[in-house]
Amino acid sequence: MLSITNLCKTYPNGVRALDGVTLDIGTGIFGLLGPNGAGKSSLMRTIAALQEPDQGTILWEGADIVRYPHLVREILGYLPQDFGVYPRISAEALLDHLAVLKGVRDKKARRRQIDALLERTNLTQHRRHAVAQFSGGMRQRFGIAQALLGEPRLMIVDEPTAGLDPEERNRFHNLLGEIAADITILLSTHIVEDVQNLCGKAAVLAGGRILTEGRPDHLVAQLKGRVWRRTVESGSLATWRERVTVLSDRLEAGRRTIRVLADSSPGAGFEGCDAALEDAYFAALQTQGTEVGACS
Amino acid sequence: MFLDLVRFELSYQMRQTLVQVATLAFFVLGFFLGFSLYGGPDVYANAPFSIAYGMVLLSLSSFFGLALFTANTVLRDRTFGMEPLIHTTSVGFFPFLAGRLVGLVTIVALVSALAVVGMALGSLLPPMGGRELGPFRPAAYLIGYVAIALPNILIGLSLLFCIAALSRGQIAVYVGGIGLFMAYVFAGVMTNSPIMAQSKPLSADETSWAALLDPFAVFPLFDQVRFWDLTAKNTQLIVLEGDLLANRLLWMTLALMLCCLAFRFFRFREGALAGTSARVVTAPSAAVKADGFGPVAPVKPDFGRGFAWQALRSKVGLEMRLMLRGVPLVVLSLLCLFMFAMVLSEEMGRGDMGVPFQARAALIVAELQEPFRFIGPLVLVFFVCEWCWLAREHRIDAVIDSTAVPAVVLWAARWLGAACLISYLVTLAVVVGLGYQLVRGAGLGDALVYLRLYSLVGFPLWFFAGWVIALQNFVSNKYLGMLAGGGLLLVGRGLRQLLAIHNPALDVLFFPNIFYSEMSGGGYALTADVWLMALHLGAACLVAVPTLLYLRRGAKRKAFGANRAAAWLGATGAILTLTALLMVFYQTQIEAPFPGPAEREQWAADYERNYRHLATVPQPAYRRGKVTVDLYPERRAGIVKGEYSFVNPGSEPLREITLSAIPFCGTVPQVQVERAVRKTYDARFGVQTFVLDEPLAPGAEGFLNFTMKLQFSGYGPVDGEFYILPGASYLELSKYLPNFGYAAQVALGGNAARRRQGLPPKEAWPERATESARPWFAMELIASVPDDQRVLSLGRLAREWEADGRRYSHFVQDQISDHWFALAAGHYAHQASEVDGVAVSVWYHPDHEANVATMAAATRDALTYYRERWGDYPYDQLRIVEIPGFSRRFGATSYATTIFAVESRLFVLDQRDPEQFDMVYRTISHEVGHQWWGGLLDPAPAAGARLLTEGLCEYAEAAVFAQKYPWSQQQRLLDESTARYFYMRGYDAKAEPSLARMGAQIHLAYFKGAHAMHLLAELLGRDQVDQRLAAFFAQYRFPAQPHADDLLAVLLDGLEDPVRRRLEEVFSEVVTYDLQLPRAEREAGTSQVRVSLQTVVSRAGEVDPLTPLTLEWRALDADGKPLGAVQQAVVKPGWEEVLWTVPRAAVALEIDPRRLYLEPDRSDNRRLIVVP
Repeated sequence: MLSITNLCKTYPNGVRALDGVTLDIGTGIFGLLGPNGAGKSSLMRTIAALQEPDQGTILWEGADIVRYPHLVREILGYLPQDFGVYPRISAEALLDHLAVLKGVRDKKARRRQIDALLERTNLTQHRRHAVAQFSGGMRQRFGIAQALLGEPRLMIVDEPTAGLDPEERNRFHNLLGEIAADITILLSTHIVEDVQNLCGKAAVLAGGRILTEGRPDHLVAQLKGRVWRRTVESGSLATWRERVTVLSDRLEAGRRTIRVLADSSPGAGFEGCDAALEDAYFAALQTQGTEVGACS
Repeated sequence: MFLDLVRFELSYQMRQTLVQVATLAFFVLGFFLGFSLYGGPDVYANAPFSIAYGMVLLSLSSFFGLALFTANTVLRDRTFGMEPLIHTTSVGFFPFLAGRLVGLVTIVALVSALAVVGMALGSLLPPMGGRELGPFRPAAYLIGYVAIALPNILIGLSLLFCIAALSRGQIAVYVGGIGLFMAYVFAGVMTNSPIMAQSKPLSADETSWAALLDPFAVFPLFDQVRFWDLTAKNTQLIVLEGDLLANRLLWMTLALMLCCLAFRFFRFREGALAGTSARVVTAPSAAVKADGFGPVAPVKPDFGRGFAWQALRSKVGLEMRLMLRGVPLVVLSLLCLFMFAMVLSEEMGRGDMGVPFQARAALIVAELQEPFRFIGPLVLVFFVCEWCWLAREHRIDAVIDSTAVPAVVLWAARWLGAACLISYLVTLAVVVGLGYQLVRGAGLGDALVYLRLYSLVGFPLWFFAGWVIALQNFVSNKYLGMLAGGGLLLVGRGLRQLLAIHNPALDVLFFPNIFYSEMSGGGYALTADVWLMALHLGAACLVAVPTLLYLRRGAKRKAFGANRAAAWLGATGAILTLTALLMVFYQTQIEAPFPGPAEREQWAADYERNYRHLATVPQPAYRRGKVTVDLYPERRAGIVKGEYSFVNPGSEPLREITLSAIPFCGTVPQVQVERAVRKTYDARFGVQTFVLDEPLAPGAEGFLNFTMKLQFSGYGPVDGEFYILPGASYLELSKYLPNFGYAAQVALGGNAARRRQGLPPKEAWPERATESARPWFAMELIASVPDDQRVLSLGRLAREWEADGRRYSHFVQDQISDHWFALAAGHYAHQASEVDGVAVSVWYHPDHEANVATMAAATRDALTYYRERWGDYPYDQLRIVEIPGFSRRFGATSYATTIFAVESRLFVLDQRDPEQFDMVYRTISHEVGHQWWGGLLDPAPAAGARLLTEGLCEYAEAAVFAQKYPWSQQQRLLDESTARYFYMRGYDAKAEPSLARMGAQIHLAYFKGAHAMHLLAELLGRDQVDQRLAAFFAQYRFPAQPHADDLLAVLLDGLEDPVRRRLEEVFSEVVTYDLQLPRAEREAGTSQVRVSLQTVVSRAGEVDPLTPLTLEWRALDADGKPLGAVQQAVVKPGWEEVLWTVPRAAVALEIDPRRLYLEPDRSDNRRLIVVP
């Protein structure tokens, strides 16, 4: 169990990245949704002991991992959002090195696990190639492989499917699903669908604050009967925003459709529709007053 | 667009922290350089020449910053991932690159100009070391900057810019920066730059080439001022003309070509050169396999015992692989190999007079240490900084930092990585050393000596790496970290100088003296080095503690909780530092106190102030002494006991006597004078005055005894005249024993030191010394050492025996002209022979036999010549004793019956090539000469005394040498002596005295002396000179006290002009010449050659336009061999045209072929005959 209480972090340039974040995260996959700059990566780096909070506590199974960061490092598998690799080092050699750093000391066991991970991430045939020369997707698969080295009990994966094609993304989701039964996975993403499909629990983070959290279906259920939609003229979007709580707008078959949050029908032309997690996400952001961009 | 690019570049650079900090750093550097400007003894600290040399140092220091600036300017697009954006704009590569270059040059010029301003301000402070300050002349700074600093900086910049633009690799730029320093060392060695150790004068042809080939203009700068006297050095501005101008033009052209090269090959694509773009590995989606594999089985990590070690090995191994696979390391390795080989080839292959040294590891390690002083810190700063930033720059730091690897592993991996790099570089040096030995045909039996390189070069660099790593951890920018690393060296040293802390062991990077003596079987400092290194290791460990506690890990700095590694390191560092400090304190302050340079200077000044008056107080003289010396080499200790009798040589009774004994390592000999009461005792100066119970009547005898303890610590500079070491010892003992009256030899010599201490300039030697009766001194010496060694000293070995594991030797010498003796101890083999009843023996280290036969032959020849020509040798033996290389300040020193010759100056010279100058033969001949001149004939302590010692020994050695070797060999020595004379006289603070009035000036006694004696022999013939010297010797031998005038009276007696005039000129005046033969043109169809002559005669610095001179000349054939006899012509000073008749086969002319005139530059004395 990862227990985060009142976590605050302000960077030297004055940006308040985390503002009283409190979360309890159990086993399974916990989704962290939020727009760019919401503080997701800051939260993850703080949990991964890569930076210190200004305030608050992070407990892993009751132990203070801010004060004793080695406790989290010993059980952590971390895939940063943006990572690089050493030049001129093969995938196999780099995995071997990282495995040693993660405490996988038995050479045979290390070899077996690396082989399995290379297979699983479809990199076996490139094992002797320098990772620095991998394409973006291959490098991301390599990142996933390294995060799984050893026996991670807490995995932090920051935008893990960025750069993966749909097939690879599915494979990764399956992989996460398989291992999530016994461990805690903190998945950061801005793809709502990923959270919907994978996460037993999720939270929406914006401006460094947790806006809402819960099981995805519960979050959706909270909006039951409150989401309306209609087609509008593109030029009238600003007017509609003034009149109603527009959750999102999108082009459907060349026509602009808005989804609106309201306890009753906002007016003629609106029709009730099933709420989705995306509506819950945007609704949460609306409550914060955060500007929400168009969602494709 | 171009101007916009330049404007943006300047605006961007100005906002960079690196540039701002570097500007400040260079200003401070300039300030320190200005404060510590030095152009030579007695040259104004801010003399134009000193400033110009300061500009050389400034430009050298700037290379480090240049590498950072260039990398930051040219490679920043790559570093910050901007390349795809920049390179896809419409800007052409030419305006793009030109904009960057112009911006870079402008910034660098501004920063360096600010450094010059700092230098100007720094030079306004009272200069270091009591040097004098001349008037402030802005023009000197401007010329120095324009002629020296700026071109040097532009040369370095163009090379680095070219490398950066073509390689797009940071390490390659750093290697380029290191290469610039190597180029400096290379140029210095190849051109025999005067600022390099063991620089040797070059021939005229070599000088021209050297002046052109030195990229940093050190050589042409020194060449321009080579013959300037002190006044000129203090007042004349450096002029951008002649060789200096040619050098600048040549290298600026090359710099321009390098820039053109960069523009020619630079392209906006991956890898500047074709074929270097990275190959991207892709796996098409079709290749993605469907699921179906089982779950990845987790492997339980084990963070128990041994984890940190395994992680460390893995990390170091991986980083080493990264380093080894890089092209820059290959380039660096090649550069190092080349430089090591070149340094060895030059320094080992060309000693004094071009004589090579034997290829022995003991000598080689000392030469190999030198390049490391230059490049070692630089390589470390660059490479260690790269390692520290490796993970961050490749954005894998988050992955690594989030693993459970302990912080100590991350830190230790960097430190061990540095150790690997250092070991690698040292190994390269060792490989070159071993290879050099093999090429020279020497064995590798002494290969273990190379371990000294690992310990005395490797460890200091490694400790320094600890500081660099610490700096990198706390500085948020790599380039700033590098700057800080370089600044650590300079600022640390600058502060030490500013605070007048003279001990170099307190520098952040301290290299112990690596010199190794095969005789002693080790270095000089021994345990002192161990403790000093322990001190530095302790400091490095202590610096590591905050590094570990605040190790940058992600953005995280603070390590919470107990950090066992930090605690362990802190404890180790504290224990090491404290223990080393205590030991150093105990050994230098209690066990064997030794004063630092400042204390020594203060001591000498105070001694002079307090006791100078003793010089004129009548004192007794020693008559007989029995000295017992027990040496304990393993402990570097000894006990000396003496029983002396003394007499009153004067005509008045003596009521009081004063004894001075230079305190050695804090101890003053305990003296007891029979029938006398000690009146005063000054422990600081070792001066004690005794009141005799009964006045000592003229000729009456008194007695005293003393005990003195010797204990050496190895700290401080090497005293080559006094040391005890486990394998070999050398003690010029009489200097440290109680002597009567004032010890004039300890008085401060340098004018700067005397000014600092408020003392008047040292008094010139008196014209004539007061005559005083002097008794012969009879000596007995009983010395003991462990029985595997033996002691050698003056006189007859009366008895030798062993007892209690010690070997005792009893030497007896009935007649020495002064209380002046020394002894040596060590493991000796010897060769003995006899020369007309005199037992000649050479005592040498068993492995140093190569030149022993030459020494014996030289001794035999010299002894025979001198006895036949001048007078008998009164002793029954003459021995040559090898002493360790720590005494290498001199080549050999002569005492009655015994010559102590230095290992590294004579015994390990490689004299196998018969074409080489025979340095061993010549030096031994000189030293044997001292048995007469300086030994049996002891001049009065007055001006010109050295003419009677060193001057006459120059004659003696030349006379013996001429019997065996051809004129060409003598000519080489004469030319070198002349070159050294003219070089050294440029630093004479006072008007140069004549030989007959000289003081202690080396360049007069040896170098002008050699010319004077050559002239004497050429004009009179050796037979006549020898006859006159024999007469002089007979008349003035001990106890007489002759003056130089007495010698000249004998030498010139009955001579007529012009010979007499020429000899008076060379001995009693200061006259130099400049003879030139600018044109020689054959008259059509005749044997006559129209010759233009230019002659300048300078008398005491004034040009003499009147006195004609008799000039010799000869014709030369196509091979440069003389044709016919030497001819004479009388020419007027100034310009003159004459017609000379030459043989038909003559193709060239040479004036003054016998070197009868003392002139600085003989390159213009030869001319090819032009045929119209």
